[in-house]
Amino acid sequence: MAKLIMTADDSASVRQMVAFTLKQNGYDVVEAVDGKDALNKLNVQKVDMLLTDLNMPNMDGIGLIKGVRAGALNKFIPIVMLTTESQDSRKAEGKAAGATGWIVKPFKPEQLIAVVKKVLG
Amino acid sequence: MQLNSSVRENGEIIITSGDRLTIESASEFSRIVKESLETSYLVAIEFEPAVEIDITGVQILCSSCKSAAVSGKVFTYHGPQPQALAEIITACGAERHSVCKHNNEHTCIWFGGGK
Amino acid sequence: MEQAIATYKEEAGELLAELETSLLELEETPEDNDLINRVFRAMHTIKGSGAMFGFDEIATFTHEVETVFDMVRNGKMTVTKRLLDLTLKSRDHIAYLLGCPIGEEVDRSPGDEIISGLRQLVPQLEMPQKGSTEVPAINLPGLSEEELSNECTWRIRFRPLPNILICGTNPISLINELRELGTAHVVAQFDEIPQIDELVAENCYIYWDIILTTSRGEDAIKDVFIFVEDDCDIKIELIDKSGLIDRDEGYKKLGDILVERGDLSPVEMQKVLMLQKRFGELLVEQGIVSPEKVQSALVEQQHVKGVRKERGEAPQAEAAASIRVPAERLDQLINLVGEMVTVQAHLTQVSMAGGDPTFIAISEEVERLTNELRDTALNIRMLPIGSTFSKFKRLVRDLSSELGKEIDMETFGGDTELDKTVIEKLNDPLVHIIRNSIDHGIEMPEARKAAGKPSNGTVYLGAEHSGDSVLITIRDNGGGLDRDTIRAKAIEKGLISATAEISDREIYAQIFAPGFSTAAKVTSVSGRGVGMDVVKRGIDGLRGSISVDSVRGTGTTITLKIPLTLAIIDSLLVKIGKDHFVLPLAAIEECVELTREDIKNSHGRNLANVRGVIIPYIPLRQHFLITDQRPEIEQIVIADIHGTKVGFVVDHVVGEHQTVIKSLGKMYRDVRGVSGATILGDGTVALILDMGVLLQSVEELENAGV
Repeated sequence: MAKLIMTADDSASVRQMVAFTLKQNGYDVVEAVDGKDALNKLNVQKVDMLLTDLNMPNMDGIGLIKGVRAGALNKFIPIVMLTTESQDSRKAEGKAAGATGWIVKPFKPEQLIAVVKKVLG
Repeated sequence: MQLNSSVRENGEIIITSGDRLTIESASEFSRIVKESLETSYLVAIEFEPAVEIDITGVQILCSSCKSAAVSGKVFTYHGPQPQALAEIITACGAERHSVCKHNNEHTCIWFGGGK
Repeated sequence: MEQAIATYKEEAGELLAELETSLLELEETPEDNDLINRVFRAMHTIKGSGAMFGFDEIATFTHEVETVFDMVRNGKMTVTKRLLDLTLKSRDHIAYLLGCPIGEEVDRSPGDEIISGLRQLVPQLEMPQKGSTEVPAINLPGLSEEELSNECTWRIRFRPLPNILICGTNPISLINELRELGTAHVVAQFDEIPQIDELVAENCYIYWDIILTTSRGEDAIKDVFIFVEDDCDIKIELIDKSGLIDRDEGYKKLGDILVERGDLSPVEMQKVLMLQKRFGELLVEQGIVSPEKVQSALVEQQHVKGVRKERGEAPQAEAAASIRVPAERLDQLINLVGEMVTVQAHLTQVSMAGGDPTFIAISEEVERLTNELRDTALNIRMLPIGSTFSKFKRLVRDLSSELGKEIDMETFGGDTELDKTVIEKLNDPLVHIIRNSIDHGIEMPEARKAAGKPSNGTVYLGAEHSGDSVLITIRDNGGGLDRDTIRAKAIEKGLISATAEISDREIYAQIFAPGFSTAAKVTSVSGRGVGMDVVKRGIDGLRGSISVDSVRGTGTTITLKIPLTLAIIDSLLVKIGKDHFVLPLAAIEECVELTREDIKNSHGRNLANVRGVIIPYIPLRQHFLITDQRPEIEQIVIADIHGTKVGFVVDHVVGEHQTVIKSLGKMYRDVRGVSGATILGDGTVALILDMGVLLQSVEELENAGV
């Protein structure tokens, strides 16, 4: 069964690019437009992994990570945050909140898949 | 069958694995084993053939086995070992090659090993 | 993907509009940090996404502008009119670049002008070097990795922090990544797993020792752990390198490995070395190092020795040493070889009849090759019996726990090879024998203790070669067979007569009679009297034999003698009247003549005097009711059947024969004394005789008083 990955990003283009790349590599994708949307969906739907942007309106990535780890259904899923090279402190913050790994923006599709494979095993 | 336990007439406690012994069910699984070992001298797992097992499952099996050995109880399983257990043992390099000192120098019935 | 690009353009357009608004507002309130941040984030997003969608020009250009605004954001620069002018121009330039199709030449000059203008504004000439947008998230295989031709072996100790699992990391996938880098041996260490009442179920207690040989460098190993480097303790040490002058296959001593790993102190090592015993065993015995750690160090030793050995060999040797072939193709090969053997026999016959020396020479050559081909083909089907042994270990464990007994199983000779069909057919008989040993043989722990034996019993299962057969031994150190009970039961069942003087072996052999059970009560495991006759039938079917030895109180040994292969056997071709028969050569000792004179001298009893030894014989002519003219001189084929010498009288001994065994049709399957048939060179059919069964049926007839 294909693994289901949620991509949470307020940028539609990034979501589309992520979704497109993942689907091409055999994953199923569910999209969320911000942290709150993501958390609401994750409370009712089991996914295998979460890819989240850090800067989002209506709850940012850090809040989302904390929320997922404090929840029930998806408490232990791998979470990869999309960060930028200028956000080292945010990266540390995300790790502390319970993120599994990160991917530095901008990234190429093959880099995204490499990270997803690494984290999903 | 869900992750659950039941007592047989002879006092043996049977724990059914349910379909996953993974981190999601880890605390429940360890609680059931702990309570079973507190009340019975013989605790056995019955695995669903298609059960999923991750590292937490492996750790609970090992921990339970150590606890049983210390208190002179038996922690074992009925029926065949599930595919997933064999797979994770290989994947994480858990095959034992010698007897287990935590299990009174016996061969490990979970992870192998000889004298 | 096109859709995503279109969306990006749209988004970038919106961002540029927002940027413009923010910049104009900023002109009014240059100190507004919120606005500065908005400008920065807009630039940042345009840059980041641009690179992802292939707008490299935009990414490179925007990076420069963003860098300047980062300084503004951090208070290193102030917002000035000039800065805002340049930034607005930047916005226009980005809009222009957005309109350019990807991959086409663009006009860089306005961009360069803006950048140089911006650089002039930077105070401490702290402008970083040009575009670092190509920061890869992780190293992709073969991309940034410098291919090192040198293979190195690394020792990695990977000790995750307890919370690693909760953060969604699966250590096994990291270990699998290491495996992909080269040749790895992984040993998981369990010693830190606490007892169940102290276990925090979601914590990670296992840690790993990994020995990895790879041509990728240390960085590739570190990259595997990139996400967890702060969440675990990782030690990566180089322990072996190709091209070392030391071409020796030997490797460090166990003690040195353990000291290097920090599992053992040098002082302790010296102390133990003084004792002159196997080092690892001593360490464990004395409780200095846990067996798992010693084991892990041994794995390292083996790994490096293996790697060094391989290195010493020619690289071609890396080609597959074995291949997998479907079993049915092998069966087909054996069938063809069987046909070939038959045809070759015909060829030999024809060539001999013709008497042409060249023809005979060719036919002899074909015979030699056919024999070699046969041996090779049969060899391919040989498998080590050990593969089935492990199944029995499991059986012993399960049954003994079911019965509340403590039983270990020890095996030996697992690498003994047998034909694969033989191994398959051995399974059921072995299951029954082992069940029997566990249920009837090994006593309950209390009974054992009372008898002064260790409380846990042992079942030994072993295999060894013996001529063209394999001996399979199942021995237990249980209570042994009760000779008298078996005898009484056998008499009760009418299997033996009450007065018969028979050996212990023969009495024990009664346990294989159908429906025979001395068990006082039926258990779930055995006692219903089915089973041991299955063993007998199974072993008979393999043309094997069973013998039982037992000592009351110390245990029972059951030995199965099984021929190596079932498909083709060496045999003796004989003739009675017009019919050919085949006797398996393995048991045959010699052939002697039987004259009319001899027959007369034995006064009607079928006994022959062979060099002073009286040997009973079975006249096959009478047995098979062949009535034509009896030759003046007959032949006795003397065979050793389960230790008894018996003769079989035939008209002529034709000679040795390669017999390709064909099974008989359903109609004839139950004919006693005939185990199969074969096709001779001239196309006639010869029956293969089962001498053991023949002997038995004749004995039964005699016992019945016929």
